[in-house]
Amino acid sequence: MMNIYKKILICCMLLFYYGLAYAQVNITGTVKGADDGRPIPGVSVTVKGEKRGLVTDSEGKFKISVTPNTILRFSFIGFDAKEVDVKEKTVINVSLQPSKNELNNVVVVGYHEIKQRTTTAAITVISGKDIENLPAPSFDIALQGKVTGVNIQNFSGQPGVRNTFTVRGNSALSSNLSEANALSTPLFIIDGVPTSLTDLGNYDNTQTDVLAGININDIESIQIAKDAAATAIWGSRGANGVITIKTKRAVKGKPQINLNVYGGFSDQPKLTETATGSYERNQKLNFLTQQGGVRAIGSLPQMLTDSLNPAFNNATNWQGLFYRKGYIHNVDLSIAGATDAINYRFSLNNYDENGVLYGTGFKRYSFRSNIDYQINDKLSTEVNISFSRVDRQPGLGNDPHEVNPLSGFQQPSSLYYTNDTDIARYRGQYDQLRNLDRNDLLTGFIGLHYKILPGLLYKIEGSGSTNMSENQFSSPTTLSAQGIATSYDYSSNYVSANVNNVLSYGRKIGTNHNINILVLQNFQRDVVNSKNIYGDNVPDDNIKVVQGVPQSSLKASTDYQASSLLSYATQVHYDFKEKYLFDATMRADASSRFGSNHKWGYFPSVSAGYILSDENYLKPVRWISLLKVRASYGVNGDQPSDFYAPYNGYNLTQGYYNGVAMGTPNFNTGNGVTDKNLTWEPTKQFDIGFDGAFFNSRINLTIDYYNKIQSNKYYTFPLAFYTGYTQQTSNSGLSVGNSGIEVNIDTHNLPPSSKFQWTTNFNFSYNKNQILSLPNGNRTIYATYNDNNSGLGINYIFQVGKPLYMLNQMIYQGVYNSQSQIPVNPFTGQALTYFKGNYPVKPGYPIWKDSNGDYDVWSDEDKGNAQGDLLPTANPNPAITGGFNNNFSYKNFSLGIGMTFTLKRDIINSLLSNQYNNWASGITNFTSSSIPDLSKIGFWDPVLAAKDPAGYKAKYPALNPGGAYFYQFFPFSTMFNENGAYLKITNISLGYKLSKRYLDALGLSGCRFYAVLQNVYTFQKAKVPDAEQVNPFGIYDGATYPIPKKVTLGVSVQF
Amino acid sequence: MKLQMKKYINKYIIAIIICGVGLITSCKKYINEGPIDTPTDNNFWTSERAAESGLAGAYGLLRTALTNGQAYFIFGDATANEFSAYENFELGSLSSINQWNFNYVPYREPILHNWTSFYQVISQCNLILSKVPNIAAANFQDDPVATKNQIMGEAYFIRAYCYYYITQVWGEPVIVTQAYTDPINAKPIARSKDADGFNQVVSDLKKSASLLSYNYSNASQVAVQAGKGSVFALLSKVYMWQKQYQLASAAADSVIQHGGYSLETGANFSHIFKGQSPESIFEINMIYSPNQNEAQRGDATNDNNNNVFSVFLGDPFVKGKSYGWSVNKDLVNSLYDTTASKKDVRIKSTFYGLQSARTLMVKYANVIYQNPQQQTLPFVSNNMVVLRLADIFLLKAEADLNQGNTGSALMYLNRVRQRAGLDPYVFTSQNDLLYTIMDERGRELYGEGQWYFDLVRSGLITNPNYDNSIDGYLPNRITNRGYLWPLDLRTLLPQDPLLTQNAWWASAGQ
Repeated sequence: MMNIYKKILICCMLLFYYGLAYAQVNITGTVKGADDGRPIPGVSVTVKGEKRGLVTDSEGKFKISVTPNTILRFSFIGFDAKEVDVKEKTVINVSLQPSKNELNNVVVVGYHEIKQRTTTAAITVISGKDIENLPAPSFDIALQGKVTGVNIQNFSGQPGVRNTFTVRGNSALSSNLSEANALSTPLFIIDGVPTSLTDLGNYDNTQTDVLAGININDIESIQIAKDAAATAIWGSRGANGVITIKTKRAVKGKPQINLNVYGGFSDQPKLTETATGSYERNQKLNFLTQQGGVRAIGSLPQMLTDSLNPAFNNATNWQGLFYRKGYIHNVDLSIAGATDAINYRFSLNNYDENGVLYGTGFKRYSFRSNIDYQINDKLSTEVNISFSRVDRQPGLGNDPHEVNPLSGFQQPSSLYYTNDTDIARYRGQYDQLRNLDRNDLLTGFIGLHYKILPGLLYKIEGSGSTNMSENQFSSPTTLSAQGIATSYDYSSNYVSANVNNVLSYGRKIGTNHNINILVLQNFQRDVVNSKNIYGDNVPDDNIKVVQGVPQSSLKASTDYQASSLLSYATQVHYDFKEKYLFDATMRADASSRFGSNHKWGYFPSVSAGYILSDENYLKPVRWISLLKVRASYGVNGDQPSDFYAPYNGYNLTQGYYNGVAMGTPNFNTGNGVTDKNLTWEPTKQFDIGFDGAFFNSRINLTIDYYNKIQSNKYYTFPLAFYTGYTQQTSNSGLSVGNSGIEVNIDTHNLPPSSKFQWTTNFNFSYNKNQILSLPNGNRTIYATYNDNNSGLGINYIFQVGKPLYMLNQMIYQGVYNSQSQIPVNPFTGQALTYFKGNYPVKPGYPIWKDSNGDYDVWSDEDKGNAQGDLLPTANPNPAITGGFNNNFSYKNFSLGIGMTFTLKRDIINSLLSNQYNNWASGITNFTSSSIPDLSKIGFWDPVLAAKDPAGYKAKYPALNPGGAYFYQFFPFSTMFNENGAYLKITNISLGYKLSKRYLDALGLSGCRFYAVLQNVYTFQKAKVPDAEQVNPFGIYDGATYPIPKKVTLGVSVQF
Repeated sequence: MKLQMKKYINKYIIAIIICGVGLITSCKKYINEGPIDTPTDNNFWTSERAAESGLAGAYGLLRTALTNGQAYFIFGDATANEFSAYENFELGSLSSINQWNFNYVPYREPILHNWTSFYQVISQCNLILSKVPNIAAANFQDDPVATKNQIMGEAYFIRAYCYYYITQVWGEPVIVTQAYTDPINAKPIARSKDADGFNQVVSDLKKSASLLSYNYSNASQVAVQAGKGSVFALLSKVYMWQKQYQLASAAADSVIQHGGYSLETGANFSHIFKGQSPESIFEINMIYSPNQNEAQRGDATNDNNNNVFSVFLGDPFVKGKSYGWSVNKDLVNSLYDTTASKKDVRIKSTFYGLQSARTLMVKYANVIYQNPQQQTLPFVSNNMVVLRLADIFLLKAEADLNQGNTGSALMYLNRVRQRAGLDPYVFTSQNDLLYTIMDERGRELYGEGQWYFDLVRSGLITNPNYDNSIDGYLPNRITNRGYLWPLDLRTLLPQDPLLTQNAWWASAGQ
């Protein structure tokens, strides 16, 4: 910084000298931003055609002496440069337009800061401005539909719960089909601190999204690194993309105080249409007699026939018991300022959202302090500290499927009587339980930067972050079937320490060669300490902690686990005239999670770019502002999520024999064998991209094609029984490919001079997910997902050439109307049967395709044939995802509309399956369950079928609670598959900026009012209430938390 | 001033470099850091305590293998028609009307058609046998040689018992006597003959006998851990399968003469199952203790793998539990003389509610509530008796009869009858004596996981002259070894391509 002053001084002296020689004019002025009218310090002011220039001071002011009729050029990063003809003027006030050409932004590739224009990597940058004030606990929700190649999907709307975040398709295979690890997750770098959500999640007691600890309004920018050129530098952790989050820093000028408040509510979710009271009774009676005939009349349950019984003549609204309107409020306060020596920003935040289901909610208190200090002209330091406390009320429990005790198909008939005691009992599960889910996140970062020589910079950075997660639970005797009060306290402390030594050298050689070399050494160590204390038989319901519990009912355990990563890396950038661009990186990681024979992993990448628009033959083409092609190839990795994967731990916690603790290897868990050869999962990725800017950068276009192959993936192998070990997780022959195309278009639809401004972002990505090889000689793998509430199984198949999580089902083709339609085996004369001959097919039965032609339809898995009549049917991986975002501004008004879409996705409505199956399983279940308007569903009607056997097409087979039950409504057929495509208006935000006149009167430097509608409307074909609320396996079960619609109003004031 | 600054800066640099170097050297250590929350193969087998813990692991795994899904009672009793109805619908296929169709026991295949849990016990024994000899003598608190012998002897016994049981249930075991260090690359192994299985048992038991003694140094280990008496008792049972009657009789003699066991009185018949009875030769410890609980829940839990005794019980033995497996009263009436004036004392200790619609088997009905006031959280505190003196008496009688020594056979049979309060059996014919011994086994060992194997071993299961032969098993099935259980090849075959299905199930049984 001292240098700058020196330069200014020299410039001024030179000016003075020139002033003597020529007739000089002294010009003064202020440079302001056209967007907010605030002065911009540090703008470079140059005289065209001369080499001299200066920069504006902390109030945006400048003073320069020039000869008349020269041209002054004002330029600053992030703004469009502007040229002003001096002519006779002595005062020149300039307002600079914020740059619409994002390619001038600086991006961070690993540890290199580089202009987006000259990068060879596929990186998308989202400005904090694009997501500020969106009423969401964590920024990932706000990113939805904004980044091509990134798919963010909320399968639960519960505030503060982690949802899915995949970059360039999924590569994870959860062979036991657990939702938590179903999809691959990128690595997050939060202000220089690498954070793995998978690692944190494995040791977390609260299931709260760690990202929700970050205040959205503290975010300056989010960078999404996608190809190998951008991620190889993160070595064994970068395979699934890297998201770099930078928090805000001050701009030079006088201190700014910013107060931002918003509040609003989430709408009570739309209730499912339900028949109640006498309408329900009549429907059920009619239905039973219609389907079951005379036999059913003889066995009608009392609940239906005894309409005068006060226990059964009600119209209870069960759904209303648990839903409510939720409230949100958020307060941000920040103070920021910067001088040449120091740059500081402090912020405080409180976000509070109570959920639309009783007993759920999310609170965050956060504090952040970012300070940069220039100690002298060679040495500077950077200190960031952040703390946040996140309290989440999980409702009934931490399982996303257990938030509502009467969710989905479990809802009882409205005929039941409910009184205050019943309500108290149901609600009591929320009121009387104590369920505290708390995360305290503390991060500290210190960096020292030392300029050894011009261009040679040494950085040492140290950071520590801790995530203390605590789950305190207490349930009184009144809620226990055994009459016992239970309390527990599970806490874990995840501490991650990180040290970087970075040496970088950048130089311009001659006029054309730019070179930048960086070497670094990095060490990261993660340590988890956890304590679990559990007690049954708590002596009094007023004790909500573990106190006074008899010794025999007390369980306690502690744990300590550590993981370390030592890395060396180098990054080289070379360009010729900023036109021919080359980059190469190499990283070596030694991980404590690799086996002793493979401690080191090596991750190289190379990339090149070519800016065609700088070639002479294209320079005259004025409508082309930029044309760049780039390509990259490299290797990334993924390390085991288990800290001690190569070690065979012995299990001494499985119980006792005759009072002695049993000590055995872990025969069943997949980590019972010492695995010296365990190593990283290599991911090879090729990317070719094109960046273009046209018509004075009013149209910006980026297109990427990528092909990513992850091989030697971890897989849990079954082992031969006689070894005693049943399975082992290790590198395997499993490989998964993701290839696709990403397109991003940004347009400024109106000329810059127009008062009305309209910008559009359209992005979409097409991804093809494919299993390329499988372990054990490509043997097909079968897996079953068991519905959390009903236990219904949904079958999946993993086959070479097919995507991950392909559904494996029988084909449902309608309903048989008459006996003559049922196929007969020509050899035996027997009609088609279901379930190994147990159910001869009759009219009203579903038409299931007899794929193997044996005149019996079933999955046959108990015959040792896993396929039977099943076929791979549906693909729950979204093929096309994207967003369409428009921003309008006119004078002081602004309007933003954000949309996201998913196309070509198959989903399965297991809620309907559960409901119908429940009704079909017997008259008692049918009678005691809630039902919608049955006539609208389209169950097979024998009367209609008899009238028109050829033409009648029922949607669903006969549902006869008194008749044959052969699991006909199980989701093992395609009966409940739906088209999962949707287009969602995720948010509409409206803003109004107070004009300067009022600001001056109020003594403010800025004031903006805004309103945001979140989750506005969904266009979809599927019958599920929300096609987004579908889990990674494509299942909608109706039991997860609905995604609420939110309305907020806010004001942001700058002092 | 400037000079001073430079000095400072140099200091910074030096300090930073020192820090950096320090870090790099300590990094190496961290990269190779193993877990401290669990022992590993490298450091587990290093002390007497670990060896004992490993042995407890072997016993515990054996307990799991035998009790999982009530396997012990399904294999040994349900198949012998001792029960007529089950609370678990999936066991319906085991009833006589479904002709004991072992091929289709839905949802229980992972236990009943899969012998992996027994191979885990064997694997644990193999580990003990390979690791314990290498533990340094200095790491023993007790006499190293004696303790090692004791632990190894018990490991040989447990391994022998597993091969004995596998050969009884599925036949033709895969024989593994080495501990695997690299199971990922294990070579496929084919099944051996039944005879090889039994020979392996004999060979292990002989080694075990040479290492163990009849007396227990620690009273708490009596019967719940193997002693020399347990070894000879099992040996006599294997010899019976091998039809080596002389050897069987001699082994039984060793138990009877040297074991120091004695029959409980008739009045205390139920004490046999409460743990460490003087009659018990080997039993699996499952006694309730609040802190190190080895007992299983007494109420109906959803966990099929964790209610081995509770399946027999209902109210009033377990408060609020409605069902239990129903005893087959036809068999009871055929086996026992329930109308006689002088009643068999075992009836009362074995059955409850013989006059009512549902009869329970109550040998294991020592229920303890963890919350005695509310009578909630019931546990069944009984041991699973695997070998006991009455069994050996009857075996001895059968062995001696097969050698033509009718007098000895009568004596041992009548000792068991006498305890039950029955009149001595009066000899009529060789065959009748054999049938009576088999009936006596049925009466004595009802619900103890034995009788089916006795019927199969003796061939009486389909003998039309024997009153209590089981009608459902067609002679053809028994001849083609359809008494063995099928293997779940879908699960087991992929990792062992040499594995084959049992003949009956591979063809006719399908």
